[in-house]
Amino acid sequence: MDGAEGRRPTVEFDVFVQHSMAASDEAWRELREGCPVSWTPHNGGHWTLAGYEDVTTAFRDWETFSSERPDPERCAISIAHSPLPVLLPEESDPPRWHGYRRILAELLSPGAVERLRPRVEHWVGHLIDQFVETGCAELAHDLAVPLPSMVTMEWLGWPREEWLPAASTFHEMAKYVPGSPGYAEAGARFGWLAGRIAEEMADRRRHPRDDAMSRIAAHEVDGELLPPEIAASIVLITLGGGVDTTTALTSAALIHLGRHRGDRQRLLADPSLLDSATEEFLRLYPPARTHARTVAHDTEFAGCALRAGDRVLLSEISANRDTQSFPDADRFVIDRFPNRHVSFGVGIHRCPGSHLARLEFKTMITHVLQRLPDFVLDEGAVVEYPNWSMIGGWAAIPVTFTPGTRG
Amino acid sequence: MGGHPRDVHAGDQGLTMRISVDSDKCTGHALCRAAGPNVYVLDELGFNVTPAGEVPLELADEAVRGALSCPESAITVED
Repeated sequence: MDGAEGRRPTVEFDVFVQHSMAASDEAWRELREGCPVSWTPHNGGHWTLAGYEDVTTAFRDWETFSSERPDPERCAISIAHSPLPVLLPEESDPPRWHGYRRILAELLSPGAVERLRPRVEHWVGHLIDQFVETGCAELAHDLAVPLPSMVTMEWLGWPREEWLPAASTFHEMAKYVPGSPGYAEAGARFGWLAGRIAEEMADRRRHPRDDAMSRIAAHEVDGELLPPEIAASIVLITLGGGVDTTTALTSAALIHLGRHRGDRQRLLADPSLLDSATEEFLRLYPPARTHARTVAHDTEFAGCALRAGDRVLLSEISANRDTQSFPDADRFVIDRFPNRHVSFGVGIHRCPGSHLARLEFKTMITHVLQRLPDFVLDEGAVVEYPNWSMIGGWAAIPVTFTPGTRG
Repeated sequence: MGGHPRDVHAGDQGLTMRISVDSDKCTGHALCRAAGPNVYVLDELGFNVTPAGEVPLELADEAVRGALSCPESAITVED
């Protein structure tokens, strides 16, 4: 293995056989402890990085680990063969990345997100009002799924009657395994969504409004408006990034608080722990569990020979469980500090929606703890997504609680 | 003395600590500000634009916590 051309330690690792969170966590533990930099022949053949230092180094070194599509038909940032159109700015490198990223950085800055706080509070209150008097709820369907969609859709300026069909397209894509009938169906709906984005954006160029789609439609790079397909791609990524990831994080935290009464009691007794708890939920339950990159030029990495064009899978979930960086890494430590998890990525592609995600998440958890503090998880009826390769999640989180009153 | 924030121990030398930010590393996570609101200054996009310089010791804890919060390790705090 240790030839002049560098090592290529090979393991049989298939990220798409991770059909439950527990199976996924265990598969990553085995790989991290056994072979943290490895090559697998599965899924077209790719390198896999499982340790914290290697994952963060690769995320930051965009000149070696490129986010541009080497093949226009193949998603650059996922190992799956995906029907998704290009997602910008994430599927781009500098220099062109700068102009695409700028508009999202402006629209989702800490200050801009703070101005969305009243709308987030409003929608969380509205959703909980719908079920709080009944004493039972299905917290995925009734809260974690709709809230990020409503906030994102309203912010974009999307017509209200289409919030649900547009957002559910992404939930279905995340839920099903690529190649399955459910995934194919969701893929077909995607065509409809892409067409609708093009229509809405054309309308915003003619009739600008006070919404994020209008700002993207009017965004200029070097004095010129973005080409329509690129502006549409930026809208698409706000949907893809905005509607399913925060759902997955919130679902994981609700399941955790349902199963670990001690952690719930500590948060109820001291709400100021929510900030550190949020980072710990992010570390243990990263909504985006993996991302892919493509090697831009031949290089040696951790003693291995990487060749231009090689695909590389970077594991956020595994980096976050690396005991070299996180003592007692498998345990939820509510006041863990420091906690430099990589759940929003690091480097230039750091999730531009991270500030909004934290606001939505903290608001949902705060309201749940205030309004249904004694909720009991119906463990037998909890349903996980069957696909934990990239974005995990739950399809059903049924709970019962002492009925409350509408806010 | 090295620049690792863990090395900070306030009090021996004087009345201030020195912080500096590597703007090439900052990608706008804005977690420094959350941990050190009286120390760190962000621009309108959330990037750390705190000028390099001295921080009074009463803000040492905020300065160190902000540095330790940075996912990019972009902040250095020294005695």
